[in-house]
Amino acid sequence: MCAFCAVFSGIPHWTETGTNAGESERVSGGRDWRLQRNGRVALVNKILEFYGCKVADWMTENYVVNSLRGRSEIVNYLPQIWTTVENIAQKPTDPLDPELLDFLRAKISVQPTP
Amino acid sequence: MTAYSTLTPIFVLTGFLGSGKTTLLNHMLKHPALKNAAVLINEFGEVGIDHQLVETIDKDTVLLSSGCICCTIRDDLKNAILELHEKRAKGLIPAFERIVVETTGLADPSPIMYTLMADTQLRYHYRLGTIISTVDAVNGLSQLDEFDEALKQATVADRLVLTKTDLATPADIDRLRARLKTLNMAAEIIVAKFGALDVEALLTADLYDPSRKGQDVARWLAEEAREAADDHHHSPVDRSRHDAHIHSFCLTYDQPLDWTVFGIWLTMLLHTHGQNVLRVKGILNVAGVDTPVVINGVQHIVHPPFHLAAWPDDDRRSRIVFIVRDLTQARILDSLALFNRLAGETDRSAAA
Repeated sequence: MCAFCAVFSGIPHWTETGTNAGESERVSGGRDWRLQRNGRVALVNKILEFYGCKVADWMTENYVVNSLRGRSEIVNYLPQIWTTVENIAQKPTDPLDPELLDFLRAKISVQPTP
Repeated sequence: MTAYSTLTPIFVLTGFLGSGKTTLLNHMLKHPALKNAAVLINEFGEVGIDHQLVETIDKDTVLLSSGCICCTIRDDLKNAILELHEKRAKGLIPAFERIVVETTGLADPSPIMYTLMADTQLRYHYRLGTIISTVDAVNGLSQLDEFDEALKQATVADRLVLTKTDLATPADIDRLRARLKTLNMAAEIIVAKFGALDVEALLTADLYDPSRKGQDVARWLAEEAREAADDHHHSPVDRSRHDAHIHSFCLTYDQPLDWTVFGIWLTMLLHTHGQNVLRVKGILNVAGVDTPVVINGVQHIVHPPFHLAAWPDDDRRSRIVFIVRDLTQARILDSLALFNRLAGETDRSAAA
């Protein structure tokens, strides 16, 4: 637990520990890890636009999910972002949702498949 | 964090009522390779277990707030393991090197696997090992038709052991094999001919065993290649006609995958469809990583990924085996490909 902000931190989620987490003694920290975390936030935000939400890194320890209406929630790991966004947007965060995929296709300038 | 492969493995032995779990367990426990195993069973059944370290599990199940049955912590199992752990630490019992958990015949193995993979206390000391499921060669097909538990036990397994094959005809065994391959193409099917069963390979060698690392992956890939070759001779309908809901398939990607995007995509997929993604196993060509990355998940939970020392063959494509219920291959394939393109777009935006 962080002594300053009383936030619990447990075993890191597999998405936060690199591609060799199963054998890695050191799982977080360092420039590459931070860059990857920044990249994750940027990518997640592209997806969350569809749900009217944004996410920000909070002290490289947690994420803050913000809705356009000003609601904020702190979460620990990536899967909790989906749960929180789902509660805020009142729709499933489903990567197979055709509407989401059309939205993403438009973002990367790909024509929807007929 | 301790290296995953050094944690004490917990193997799960499951299988439908009367499919010969305890007989198999007794046979395995006589093998010298398993002399340092502790055994956890739900109850003492008709077949006694001849082993010095056998404990029973009570039945306390805590359903987590998600409400999904596969995401339940089996407090009874957790407590039984922690009790063994404490006794081992105090020297009250022999220093076991692995644990075997035998489920009941009507158990859905998911909560057991979830407990072993997700519980915060257990995760520091233990890891899920191989999941073995016994399937009765005489009654297995009808049990798969009639009981969801039997289907679940077969689909989540790493190894399927066909029992009572001496009582079944070769044609029956072939039909059962074909059905099991349709349901779970990544599992190794082993015929139990007691006395000739390779116990060491069955229970001591798992995906994270440092001495065998990569062998399991090579087997999945060989199976995937065989299935692909078979597709040239059979219509796609053949592979799915046996079960309209559960089936397995392998996705192949030519382009290297972005690791960050893969994590985003898979957590999102498992968040929404975890109940229907029974297994996901794969070998990934990750952009910027020279060696292949192995992923292995059960419903909502994913094992920590790891690198193989080298590619098993010349094929450098990412290959991911899915065992799913009511999800189509095309939807999953398209979705991941699109997400991966999003990563390229983000890189270009950042560079601009």
